[in-house]
Amino acid sequence: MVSTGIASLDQILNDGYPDKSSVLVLGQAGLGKQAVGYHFVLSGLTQGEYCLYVTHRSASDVQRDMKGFGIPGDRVPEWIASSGSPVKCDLRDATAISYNIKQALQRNPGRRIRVVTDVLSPLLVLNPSESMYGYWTQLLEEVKRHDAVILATGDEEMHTPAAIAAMEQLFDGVIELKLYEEGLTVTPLLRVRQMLGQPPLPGWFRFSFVKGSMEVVPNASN
Amino acid sequence: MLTIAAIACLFIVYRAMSLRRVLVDPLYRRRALWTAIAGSGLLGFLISVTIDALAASGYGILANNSTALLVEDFSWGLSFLALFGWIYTSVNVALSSDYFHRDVLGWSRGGKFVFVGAVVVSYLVASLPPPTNPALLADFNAFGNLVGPIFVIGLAYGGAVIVVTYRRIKDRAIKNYSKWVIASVASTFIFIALPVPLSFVFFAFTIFCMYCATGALVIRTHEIEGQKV
Repeated sequence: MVSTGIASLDQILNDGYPDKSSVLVLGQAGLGKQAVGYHFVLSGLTQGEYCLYVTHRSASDVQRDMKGFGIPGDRVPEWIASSGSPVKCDLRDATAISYNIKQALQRNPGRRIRVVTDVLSPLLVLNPSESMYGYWTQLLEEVKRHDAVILATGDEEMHTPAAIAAMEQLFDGVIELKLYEEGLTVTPLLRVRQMLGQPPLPGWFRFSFVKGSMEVVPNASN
Repeated sequence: MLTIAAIACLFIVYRAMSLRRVLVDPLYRRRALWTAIAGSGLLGFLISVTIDALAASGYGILANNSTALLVEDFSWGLSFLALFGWIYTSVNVALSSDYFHRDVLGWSRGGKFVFVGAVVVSYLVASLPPPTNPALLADFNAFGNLVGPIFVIGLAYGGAVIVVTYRRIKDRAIKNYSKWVIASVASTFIFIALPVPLSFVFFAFTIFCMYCATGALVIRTHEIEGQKV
């Protein structure tokens, strides 16, 4: 198992994400999908693993956000970013993104690898969905051929339910984040919709970020 | 009417801050904070207008009361800065939501400095005390008349950048939010241009737009799979 970097989530998932798996973190913008990725990267860097961060944002932007979650500036993953990285992430060229990820994996044989990416939703929006399913199927298969776990974030509100359902099929694990509102109270909720090798986890969990670290606790009404 | 408007402004502040509390992404948190500040700005404007109206009519202790004038100036300044700060951060959020990070109307190349400059200059000019020498009063007033156009140009430029960026935004939450920011800016324009009491209608519409922008900060769900959680 590969630690998620979040102790309470590790507990829920029985020690973390399965080896050689692909996990999709799905939810509305702003709720903390990237933060789940940051903790995953930090955990990998702490254990001396190879971490690759593929983003449509600039490396400096993501690094600034990471600092807010207590990730020190001297601990950085390898970047494939829109700027500030030796290898560029150009959303107009999906093939190059996939090629560069594969190249990075091949440069690190025998190492445990963590890949975090936020390009799933943009690529799905900017390209025909049929071609993207093939693209992601191939990419995820390639990543799992190495000793790697890939975590992708997806913006739920950008896609149709059919597109989301199709994407979920491609991943071994799906974690869903939602903001639930009742009256004037808003509660951030998390659910593990599916995870390879585990029975479905019923119910929702509350989550919060306190001083950059994430806490996941069972929802009272579960 | 003023009380209802004030309550609406307070509600905007409350909603924005309660959503900020649960948001994680710094960009979204900042957006929520600035929406709350803009809400307080509208409240400040209401206070300023109320004090001004009461003082002008010689109402009780407010007439020629230096503390009241100070509160009025402070409220006016707060509303002015809050509105521009809100538009400034909204433009930045809208631009950052474009996947290809395209610059719009030169905003990133220096346009934002022109925007901030317009705000600072018009704020400082408007805050200058009138000269004691009556001979200089006419020149001072002419200079003061520049404030309006600078203010409007700044507002129009910020609004135009959001309008152009709007088409390029794919994120539904930010797109919806930007739509209401654009509506707020347009409504503010009209309410500045129109005479009282027509202007109050558009002031109320500005509050409504800001309320909707607050609601668009993040997509929330009321039912999950047909059930309450």
